Amino acid sequence: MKKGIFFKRIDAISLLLYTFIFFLVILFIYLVKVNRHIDNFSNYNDTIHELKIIDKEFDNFLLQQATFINYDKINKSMQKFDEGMLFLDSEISHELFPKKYNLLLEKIEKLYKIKVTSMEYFKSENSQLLYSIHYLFEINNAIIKTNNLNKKTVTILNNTLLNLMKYYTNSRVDRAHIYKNIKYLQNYNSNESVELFIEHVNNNLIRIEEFNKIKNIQKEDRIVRVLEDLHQYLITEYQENIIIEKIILIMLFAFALIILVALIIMSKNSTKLKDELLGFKTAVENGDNSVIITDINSNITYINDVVINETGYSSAELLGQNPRILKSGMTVESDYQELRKALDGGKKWEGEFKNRRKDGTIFYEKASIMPIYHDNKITHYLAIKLNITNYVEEKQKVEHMAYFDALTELPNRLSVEKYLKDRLPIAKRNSSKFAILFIDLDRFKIINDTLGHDVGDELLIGCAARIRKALRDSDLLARVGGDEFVIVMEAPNSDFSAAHVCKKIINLFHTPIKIKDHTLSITLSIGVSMYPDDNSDYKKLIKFADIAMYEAKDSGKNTYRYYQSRLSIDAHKRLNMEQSLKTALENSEIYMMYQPQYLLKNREIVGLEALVRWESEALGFVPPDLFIPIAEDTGAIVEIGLFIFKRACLDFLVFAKECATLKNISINISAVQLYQDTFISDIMGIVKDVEIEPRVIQLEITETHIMKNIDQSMKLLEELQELGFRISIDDFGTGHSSLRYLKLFPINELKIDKSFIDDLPDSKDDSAITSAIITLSKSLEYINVAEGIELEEQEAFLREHNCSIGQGYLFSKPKLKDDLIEFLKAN
Amino acid sequence: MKLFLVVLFSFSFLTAEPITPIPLTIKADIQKVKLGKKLFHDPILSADNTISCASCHDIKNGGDDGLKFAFGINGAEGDINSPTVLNSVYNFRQFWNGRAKDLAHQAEGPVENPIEMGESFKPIVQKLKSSNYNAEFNKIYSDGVNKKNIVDAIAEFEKTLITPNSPFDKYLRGDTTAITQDQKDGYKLFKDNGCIACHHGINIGGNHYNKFGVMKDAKSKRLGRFEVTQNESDKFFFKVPSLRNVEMTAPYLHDGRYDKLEDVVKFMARYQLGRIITQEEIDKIVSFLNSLNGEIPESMRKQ
Repeated sequence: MKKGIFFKRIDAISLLLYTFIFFLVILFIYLVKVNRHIDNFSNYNDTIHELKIIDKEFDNFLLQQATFINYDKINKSMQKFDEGMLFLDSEISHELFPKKYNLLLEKIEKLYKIKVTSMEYFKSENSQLLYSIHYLFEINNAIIKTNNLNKKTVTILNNTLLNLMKYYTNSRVDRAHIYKNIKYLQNYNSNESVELFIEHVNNNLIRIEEFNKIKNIQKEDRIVRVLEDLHQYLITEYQENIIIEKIILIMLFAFALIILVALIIMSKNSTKLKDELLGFKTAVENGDNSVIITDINSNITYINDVVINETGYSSAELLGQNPRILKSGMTVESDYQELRKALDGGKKWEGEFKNRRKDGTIFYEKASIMPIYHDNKITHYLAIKLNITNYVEEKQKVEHMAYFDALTELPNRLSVEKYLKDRLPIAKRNSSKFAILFIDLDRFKIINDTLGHDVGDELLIGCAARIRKALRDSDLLARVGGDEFVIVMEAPNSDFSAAHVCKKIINLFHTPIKIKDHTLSITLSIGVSMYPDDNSDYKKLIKFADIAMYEAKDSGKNTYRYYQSRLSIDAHKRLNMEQSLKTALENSEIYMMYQPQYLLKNREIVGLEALVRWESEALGFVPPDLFIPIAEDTGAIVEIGLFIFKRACLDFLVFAKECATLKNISINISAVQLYQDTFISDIMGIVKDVEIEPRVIQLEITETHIMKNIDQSMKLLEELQELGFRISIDDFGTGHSSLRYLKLFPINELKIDKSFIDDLPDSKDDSAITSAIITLSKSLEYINVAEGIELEEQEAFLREHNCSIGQGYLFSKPKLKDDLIEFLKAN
Repeated sequence: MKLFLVVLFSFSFLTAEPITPIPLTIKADIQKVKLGKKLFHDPILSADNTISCASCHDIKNGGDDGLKFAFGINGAEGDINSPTVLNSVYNFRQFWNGRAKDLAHQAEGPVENPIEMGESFKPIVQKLKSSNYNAEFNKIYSDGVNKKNIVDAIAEFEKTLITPNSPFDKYLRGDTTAITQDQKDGYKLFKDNGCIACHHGINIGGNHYNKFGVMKDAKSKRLGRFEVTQNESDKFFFKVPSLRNVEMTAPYLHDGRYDKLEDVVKFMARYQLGRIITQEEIDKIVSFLNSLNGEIPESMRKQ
C-alpha cells in the first residue's frame, strides 16, 4: 500500500532519471563485459598463437635427430602447451563458445597426444642413436687402430659407417649394402670389437627405422592447421560477437541519449513551468486577494502577505491552524454548512464571510473556496478571498439611505413596504393581526411655510420622538412623506389596541412642542387600517390607512379614523384632483364668476363677490368646496389665490365703469394664503400693477381660520386694514368665535352663512341667530351681508331686520365677466 | 669428413653444459607447505594409521627408503623400488612408468595403493575433518578438506624438497675447486661414454623415458610404460631416473637389483650403451656421481 503511494508519487522526471541511470549502469556493465570479451579474445588469440609457436618448436625438435638435446627445454614447452590447452579448455571458454570450438579443441588434443607420444619416442630414440652413433665412431677408430685388418675389411667398416652417415645428411641409406657389409664382417671375424660394431650398426638401423616411423606420423600432423582453424573460428566468432555487441552498445547508448534528451526537454519545460509558477506566485503574493491553502484536514499550509495584512495575524500564528481562527461568529452558520457540503462534494463554493481580525475588528470577505485535486484525489483546499469591507459598508450606507429617512433616522416608505412584505406572510402563518397607522401632522405645511424649513425639520424630529414614546419597541415607526408617519404594530385586538395607541399619541400632542423660540401646538390626524381585516396586500393596507387619515382630517382633524371601504373611492378622486390641479392654471381651466351684492333697501348693486371656478379637462366641473381644501393641502392655493386676486382686480375695474354704484369687490382669501410670508407684498404688487385702490378690495376670510391663530391673525388683519383693504369675515356663525375677540378684530364686514339663511324665515332658531348677528354687527358697526338669498320671503325677512346687503340667486346667480357686464348695463 | 663427423658427434665439444644446477630457492606457499609437511609425516593418511609418506621417503636419507621394494601397511611388500622424493619436482613425470603427470597426481597413488597406504580418500577426508586439520584447511582453502586440497598441500611441500649446492652444482657455477680431479675426469667420461645422452638436464635424468636394456635384454619383470599405455613399443620403457643424490638412494634400478653404484655403472655401460668400460673409468664416474649430493632441503632444516 505504502509502496504503491510511493511509486505514484514518483514524477515523470524522476522516473526518467532513474531509467537513465539504469541504462548507464547497464551500459557500463555491458562495456565491462565487452571489454572482457576483447581481453578474452586477445588472451585466446595469444594462447593459440603461442601454441602454434610451440608446435613449430615441436616440429623443429623432431627434426633434430642425432643431435644432443637437453630435454628439459622441450619438456618445458610441452608443459606450456599443456597449460595453453588447459586455458583454451577452461570453463569460461565453454561458456563463451559453442560446440564447434570444443570439437576443434578435442581434435587438437587428440593430435597433440599423438605428437607427445612421437616426441617421447623421439627422445628415447634420439638418446639411443646418439650414444650408439658416437660409440660407432669410437669403435671404428679403435678397431682400425688396434687390429691389423686387411684393407677390404677396413674399407667395409668405413663404408658401412659412411653409409649410415648418409642418413644424417638426408641421403638415402642403402640398407642392402649395409646388411651385405655386416654379413661380411660377421663371417670375417668374431672379434669383440667388430661384434660391438655390428651390434651398434644394427642398433642404428633400427633407430633410423624408428625415426622414419615418427616422420611418417609427423607427415599426418595437422595441429597447426587445426589451430589455424580454431584461430579463424575465434576471429569470426569474435567479429560476430563484436558486431552484435556494438549494435547493442549503440542501442543502449541511443536509449540513454533519448532519455537524456527527454530529460533535457522536461527540464526545460519544468523551468518554463517554474517561471510560470514564479509568475503566479508573484501574482498571488502581490495581488489584492488573500490566498490561503490548507491541507485535507483544513490546516493552513500557505498564506500570502495579503492574509497577514488583512487579518493582523503573523504567518507563524496562522500556519498549521484551522481557518476558523478567523471566524467572527457573525457569518450565518448555514453558509458554513453550504461550504462544507460543496467542498465535500468536490465543488467550488462562493460566498461571503464576516470575519474577525486579530485585533477583534470585523471585516467582510468575498471568498471562493475550492478543492485542489491531485490524481483525482483532493489533497488541498484553496481559498481566494477579497476584502470587501469598504464595499459592504458603502452598500449598507446606500441601503440605509434607501430604507431610512435621513432627517428623522426613521425607516422610510420603502422600509415599511419591505417590512410588511416580510412580516405579513409570517403574520398570516401565525394568524396574528397588524394595525397600520397613517399619521399626518395637521397644518404642518403652514408651519413649514411660516416658520421656515429649519423649524419644520426640527418639528418633524420632535414629533417622531414623541410618537415613538407611545410605541412598544416591536412597533415600527416610519416616516413615509413630508409630515406623514406610518406605524406598523401588532394588534391582537384590532379595535382596542390600535385605538388605544391612537389616543395615546393624540394625547401626547396636547402638550405644545418647543422648537427653538417657538412653542407649537400640533395636532395629528391618524388613519388606521387592519391586517387582515381590511386587506392582506401591504400596498393597499398603507393606502387604506392613508384614506382613513383623510377621513380623520375631514372630520375636524386631531382625531383618528378606522378605514371604511367606501372612503377609498373619495380618496381616489381626491388623488386625481390633486394631480389635475397641478396643471389647472397652466391649462386655463381656472376661471372667475362674479355674484352681485346689493343693497336690500333699494336693490342697488354695490359689490361683487369673486368666485373661482374649475372646469377640469379630465374631471369636468369641480365645485370649489371640493378642490379648494385640496389646493390648500397641496399648497396650490397660493398660486391660485394670487391668480384669483389679480383677475378679480382687473375685472372689477371693467365692471366699475359700467356701474356707478359699484363700490367694492370681495375676494376670498384662504388661511394658507394669508399666512404666507410673502402674502402682503404679493397682493400689494398686484394692486400697484393693476392700479386699483386697496379700499375697493374686500378680503373675505373664513371665521374658523382666524380663530385658530388669534394673535397672528389679528396682526395680519390690522396690517391689511392699514393698507386700506377691507376685511370681511366669511361664513360667520359656523365657527366658535368668541365675541370678545370679534370686537377686537379689525373687521369691516360680516357675512352671515348661507346655512342660516336657507331656513328663513320658518326656522325660529335660524331667524333668531340671523337677527342676533345683524344686531351684533350693527352695534359693532360692521356691515353685514347675507348670502344665499333664494326666496322673496328670505329677502323680506332680512330687509325687515335691517340687514344691509344681500347676495343670492334671487337677485342674481354668479355670472361670467361678459354676462355680468350685460347685467350691469341692464340695471 | 671423418674429423668433422667426430666433432659433430662428440659430447665433449658441447657448447652449453648439458647439466644445469638446481636453483638455490623455489617459490612456494608457506601455509600450504606447512600443512603439506604435516600431512607428509602423518600416518593418518593410511588405513591403519601406521604409514605416512615419510615412511618410504626419508627426506634426510636420500628421499627414499633404502629398501629394494617399498613396504606398506600390515607389512606388505611392493614390487618396485621407491624413487626419491627429493628434486622430484623437476621430473617430467612421476613414478617409474610416468603415470602421474605431476606431484599432486603422484600423491594420490601411494595413498590409494592397497599395498602401500591402503586407504581411499573418502574416509581420509572424514578423519581430517574431525581433527585439528579441519581448521587448518579452512584457513587456506575456501572449500576446506577434500582430496584435491590434501594432495595439493602435499605436492606444495614436496615442491620444496630440492637439494641445491651439491659440489658439482657449485663447480658448474664456477667453483673449480668444488670437485676433485677424479670427479672432473669422471664427468668427462660420463659425457664421452654417452651417459649424458639420457642423464642430463637439471635433474640429470628424469626428463624422458628410455628402454631398460637397449643393447641387451635386461630381464626386467616389470614392463614399464607398457603397463600404462599397453603399447607394445612401450615395453620396458621406464622414466630415466635422476642421478641427484644418487649415492644415497641405493639400492638401484627400478627393481633395486644393485646395491653398489659401480655395479650399476658397469651394468648401464653394457646393457644401455653397449660398450665395454674399464674399472678405472667406472671408479671415476662413481666419483663424479658422488659429487651430486646436495644439501638437505630448506623446509626440512628448520624444524
